[in-house]
Amino acid sequence: MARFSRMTSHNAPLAAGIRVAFGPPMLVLMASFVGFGGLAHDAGWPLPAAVLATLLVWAMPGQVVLLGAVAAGSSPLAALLAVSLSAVRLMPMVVSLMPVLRAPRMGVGTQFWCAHFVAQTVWVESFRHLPDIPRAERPGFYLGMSYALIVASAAATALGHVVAGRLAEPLVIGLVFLPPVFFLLSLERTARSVVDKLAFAAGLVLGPAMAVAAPDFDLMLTGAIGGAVAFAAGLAWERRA
Amino acid sequence: MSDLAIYAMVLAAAAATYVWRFLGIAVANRIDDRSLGFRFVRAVATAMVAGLAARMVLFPTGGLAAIPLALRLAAVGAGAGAYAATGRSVTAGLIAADAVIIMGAWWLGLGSG
Repeated sequence: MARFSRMTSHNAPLAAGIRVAFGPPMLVLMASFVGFGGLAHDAGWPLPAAVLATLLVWAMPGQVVLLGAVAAGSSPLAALLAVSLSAVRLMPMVVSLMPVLRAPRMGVGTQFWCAHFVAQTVWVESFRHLPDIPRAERPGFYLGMSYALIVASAAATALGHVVAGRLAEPLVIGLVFLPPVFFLLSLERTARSVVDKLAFAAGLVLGPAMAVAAPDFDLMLTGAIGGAVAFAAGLAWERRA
Repeated sequence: MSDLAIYAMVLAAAAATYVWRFLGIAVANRIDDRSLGFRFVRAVATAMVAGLAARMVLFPTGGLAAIPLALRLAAVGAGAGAYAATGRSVTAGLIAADAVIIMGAWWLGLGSG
């Protein structure tokens, strides 16, 4: 009985994380991975390869770049370089998430395992929920949420592969439109400090501007310039007040 | 490309993506969540995700590209309005934005192709 109660208390954060995943974040991810499954089908990929890409790469931009590079017949090395370039944005996400996620006595192995699940949606949702959760329970909560989201996304990838070409176009458009709206609204919701709010606004302006000015490095430049300006201006504002 | 080559590319792409996650851990171990360094990196990541979202709306790919810019902006506006009106409910915003874009796409006759 003692062992049983210890197990349930150990699993409680995991269960809470799984529960939180059901809702807008899961809906949004499933919508975009149905889209990815459809693209993979059209590119002639076998269904398991598309699902494997979702489970192992777990970064939508990288997966779409991979599809495109393979379809265009790029050399494997050039394709991998393009994928890696699209994944640079994961590094600041991991760097900023880990200090929030870290619990006492968290092993290096758990950190590497947790880093696998970092992606836009998981990052946004983590910043929304983790600060309100006791530190010791954060890794379990985070992993529960991540497991539920990645499994649902893998299922959505398979579904998209199967129904490819059979959905009405307005519905397809409705699916691909959910992720950007979700990121905009949840980022606004999660931005608490002046620095975060300024970074949000700077990203909105610089993202499209850099996409025109420097399409290959637009996200990196948006992050570096927008983040630095927001950080400096936000801190100056806080210290003035 | 053969199926086997596709699987090999998926595995290699996963490795190419992991590099940045692992580098992230190495850097993260030197900062804590009350430091200025942390706030700086968080600002960088926030600007990046916001930039990506804005880019997806303004320069869409695939089927969304067939929707006029005015309709895409109107849908985002409807989402933001519903979000604000409901005390910041992300779900309400998503439903409103998607309702506008789907009805707009239907009205433009994209369904009949």
